[in-house]
Amino acid sequence: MIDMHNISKVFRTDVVQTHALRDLTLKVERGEFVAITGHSGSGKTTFLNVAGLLEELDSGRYTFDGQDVSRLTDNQRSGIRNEKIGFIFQGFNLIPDLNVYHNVEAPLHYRRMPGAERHRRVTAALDRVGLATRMKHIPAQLSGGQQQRVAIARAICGDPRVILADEPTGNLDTTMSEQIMQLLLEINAAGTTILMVTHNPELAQRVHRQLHIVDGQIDQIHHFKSVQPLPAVKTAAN
Amino acid sequence: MLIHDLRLAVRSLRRNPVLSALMIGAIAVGIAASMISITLYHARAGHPIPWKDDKLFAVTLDTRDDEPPQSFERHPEYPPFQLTYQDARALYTSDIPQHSVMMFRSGQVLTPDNHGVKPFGVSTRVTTADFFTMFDVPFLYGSGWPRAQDDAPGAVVVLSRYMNEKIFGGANSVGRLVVLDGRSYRVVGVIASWMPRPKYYDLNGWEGWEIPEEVFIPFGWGRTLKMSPHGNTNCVRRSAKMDGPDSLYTQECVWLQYWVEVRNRAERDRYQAFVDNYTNEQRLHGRFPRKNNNRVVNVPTWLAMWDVVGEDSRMQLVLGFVFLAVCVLNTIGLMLAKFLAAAPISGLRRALGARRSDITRQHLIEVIVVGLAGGAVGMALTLGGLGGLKVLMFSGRLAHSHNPDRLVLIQSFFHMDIPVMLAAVGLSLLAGILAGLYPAYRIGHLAPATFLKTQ
Amino acid sequence: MEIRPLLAALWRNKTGPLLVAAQIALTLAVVVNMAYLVHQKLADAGKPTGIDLGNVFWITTEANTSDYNYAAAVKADLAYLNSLPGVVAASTANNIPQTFSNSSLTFAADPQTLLNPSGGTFGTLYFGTDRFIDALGLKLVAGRNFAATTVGPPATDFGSAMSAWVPEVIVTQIFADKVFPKGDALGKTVYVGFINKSCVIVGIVEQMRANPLPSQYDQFATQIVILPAIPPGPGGHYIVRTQPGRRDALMAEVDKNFADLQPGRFVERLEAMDRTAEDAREGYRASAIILAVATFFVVMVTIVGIVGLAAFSVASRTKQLGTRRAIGARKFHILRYFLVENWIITTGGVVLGSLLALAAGVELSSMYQMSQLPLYYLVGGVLMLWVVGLIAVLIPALRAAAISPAVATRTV
Repeated sequence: MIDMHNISKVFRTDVVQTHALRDLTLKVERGEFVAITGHSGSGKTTFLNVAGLLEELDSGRYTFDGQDVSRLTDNQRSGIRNEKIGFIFQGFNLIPDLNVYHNVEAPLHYRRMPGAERHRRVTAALDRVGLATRMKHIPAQLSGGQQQRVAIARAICGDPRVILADEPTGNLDTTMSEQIMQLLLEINAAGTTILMVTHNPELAQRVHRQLHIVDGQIDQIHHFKSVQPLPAVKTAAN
Repeated sequence: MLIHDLRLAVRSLRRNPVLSALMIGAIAVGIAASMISITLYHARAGHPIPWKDDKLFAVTLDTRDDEPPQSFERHPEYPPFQLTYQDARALYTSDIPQHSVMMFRSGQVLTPDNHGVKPFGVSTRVTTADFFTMFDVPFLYGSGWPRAQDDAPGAVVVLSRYMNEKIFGGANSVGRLVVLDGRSYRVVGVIASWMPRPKYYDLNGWEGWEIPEEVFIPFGWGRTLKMSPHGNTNCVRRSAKMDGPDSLYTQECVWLQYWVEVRNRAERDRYQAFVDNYTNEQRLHGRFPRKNNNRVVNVPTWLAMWDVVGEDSRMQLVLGFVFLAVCVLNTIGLMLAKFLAAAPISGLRRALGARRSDITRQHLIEVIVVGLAGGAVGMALTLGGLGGLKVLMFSGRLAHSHNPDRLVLIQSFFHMDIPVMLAAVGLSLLAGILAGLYPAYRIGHLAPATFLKTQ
Repeated sequence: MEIRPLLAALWRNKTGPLLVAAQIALTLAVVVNMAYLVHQKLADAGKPTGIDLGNVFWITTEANTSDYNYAAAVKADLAYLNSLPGVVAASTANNIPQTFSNSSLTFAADPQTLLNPSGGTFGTLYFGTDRFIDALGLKLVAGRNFAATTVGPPATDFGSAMSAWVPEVIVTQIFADKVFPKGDALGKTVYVGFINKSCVIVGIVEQMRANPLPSQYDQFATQIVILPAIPPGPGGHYIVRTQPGRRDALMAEVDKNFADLQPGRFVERLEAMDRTAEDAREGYRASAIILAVATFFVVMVTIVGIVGLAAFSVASRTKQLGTRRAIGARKFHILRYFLVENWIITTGGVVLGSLLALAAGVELSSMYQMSQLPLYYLVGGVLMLWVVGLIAVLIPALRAAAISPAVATRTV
């Protein structure tokens, strides 16, 4: 699913040059649940940005879902993000002025989709995360765990190939963290590839593989379990 | 505490120079617009002789033919603002008022003694004697003439201060001679600086925005010398015939200004009754075809009737306030945006122990500072704007003027006196407070925890 | 286009937008009405005078001795002026046009009309010699000018002048059509109110405007009757028309010599006619400029308000915009969102503003006695504000679209 080969990303200012990613190479198979760990400043966030096509890479080759995405235009990258990637952020990143329904619906507006179809997907996604009764609430009325579940619903309603999660439990207490982790494991079991950046070593051990990034490169790889054979992936296109 | 708040306010404004400039600028422009229109309006709405509100009255009779009103007539219900000679003469016989005056404006040629100076035209008021006491005209030297000299007529003249300076160098010229239209008149008085605004006693000309006359002579000269009135002459009845030199004095044409001064309200009412009786009696002789519509009105009513202020001034006043409203709305928006953007700092302060009232007060002080700063800049803009307007509106007429009093009159249109200046200060404070009330309230009532959470 | 979420979000944060909409509403009311008023004032000021302003100047004289022989002086003055090389024509006049000094009478085709209430046609009077219409440069379109012999010596006062005058008149076309609506005024007899006299229309001039007046007072400016007479003295007015380019030199020459030609009188005023006409319009032009400038500033303030709201809106939603991009919005989607949001706010303001504009228009029309505000001013104002709103929001919207999707993963 994700095939990165010798990826480098450099941040340049007037004074200093930072190599956030140096010659990073990795492969993530379809259906895998991979945890990315590393200290602050190791390049985790930049890795996620590049992997999620949020930023361009400076050199190397990046193949995503069989397509070379190394040098695409902004519009092309937006399109891929919209249709194939789901994001989950540490701070939930819900739009504060929209209710739960509209928040989940948001990415669907950026592709051609009739209203009825959007409605079906949104309700299905909210059902999946267990928040169908809260459709009219605004984020400020929800707890942290509920907000993250809405974010997850937003991420899955477009039927993405990959979910990129940036410290999804970082702002949550133990109970809620467990809830979210459980949800992610279920989503992965149903066939979605997940990349999760995390600080939490306990969570990191519950996935298939853990990759440890140091100074912009993969330093260690730990295997915890193998990927189950997957049924054919069902998407809206089928 | 206040000093601290002020210091915070100034620091906050300096942190965001562009935004602060926009806020102050918006208020300044709004204040300037409303202050300019207030100044212009106030200058035109002046009340020239308030201490005689209950004593001084203009008299008008409805001499007109009975006709439906014409399309262009603003106020067809008002009688003409002047009298016929016949009526003026008849009213003059009443002993009810303390003083009465009938008068008109004309023009003469003054030939100075000094043959080096060319003769020049002067504006002349041809009036009966009571003029000077009734309108509280101040004298530098001498006085007016006695009533007896109105009919004789006595060859006497009262000069304006400017005229006296021009001919006699400002000296006491009582007793000296002045040649008007080739005839000698003896100076009996020189009046001091006198500029009633508006020239309420005679609204002919620029609707009351004219300087007083330069010389005054007894009323009798008008008929003796066949002087033509410089003002509106209106023959109000179809039967009038202008066919001879004396027509003005014999026909149904209005051309004379007529005022009375009474001692109190009761006297005024008695006088009104006298006037109404007179027209009733005249009606029997075929005059005054309309019903009684005689108005004995005091100065404020008089000025309102003839709309001396004018629709332009009124409209500019409204425009000025609408402008200010737009600017205040603008500032509310900018202020709100600024406060909300700086909310995390307030949240921090609250976490460190500041009360809600402290936060609200601090922001209110900042708002007041913006208001006052806007007012100060607005003041400068106002003065500049008034100066520019003066040039724009009067440069042509100013050039024609040989009488410096006209310059004084025009400058007075654009003069901001103390009450108006105080209004400016008040207005800027008010604008600032209005603009800042809602934003200060909003920011004070946000829960501090809202800002301490990372996003 | 995600209209419903956009509206829902707008409603949840309505203070800023409402403030801007209110500003837009007031601005529309101001712009529409002031544009109309300014147009009216400029139209009033710009109406043609029918006079050859650039080549005409006038003189006012005053006597300064009581034995001044006005009649002889006038005869000599006219002879002098008309004989000057470069002068096309010189005439006396009772009043100078464009100085707001007029005499008038009422006229009618039928003497009975003058006895009836509100009967008769208003006519502004000008006393002139046979050279009067040439001195002003008026265009004769029917009939003939006065003969030189028709103009007698000056009478001693207005009343006597009226009795003595040879009963012929030249009138403006508009006057002729008012008194004789069938268009056959030439050669007809007209009866004059107040002086019980009748006269014949011997000539018709195309147009003349005595003074700049608001349109509702047009009849007092354009209905003009010229009669062949020299006005009574002792002060006099002369109107002189020169060949093109000769006026300034001739003015200087006359100024130098005129007073000395006759003893006992002096030149009170000597002025170019176009200067006089300009001064008469000073008030209208100035008033129009003031209103236009004020309106301009109101619009500027509102633009600042729109830009301010948009800029704040972008700055406070940076994280949100980054997130939207992350979940797949293109730059175009973000731009479109801001433009549509802004358009909705502007339109809200415009709807309210239209009501205000029409209400103010009614009030203004009655205050100034003008006709009702034509609707195309409102349409124009709305279009202008839409365009203005669009331009104001463009740069903040482009900035918003430029926000990088990587903003979504930042934790600062």
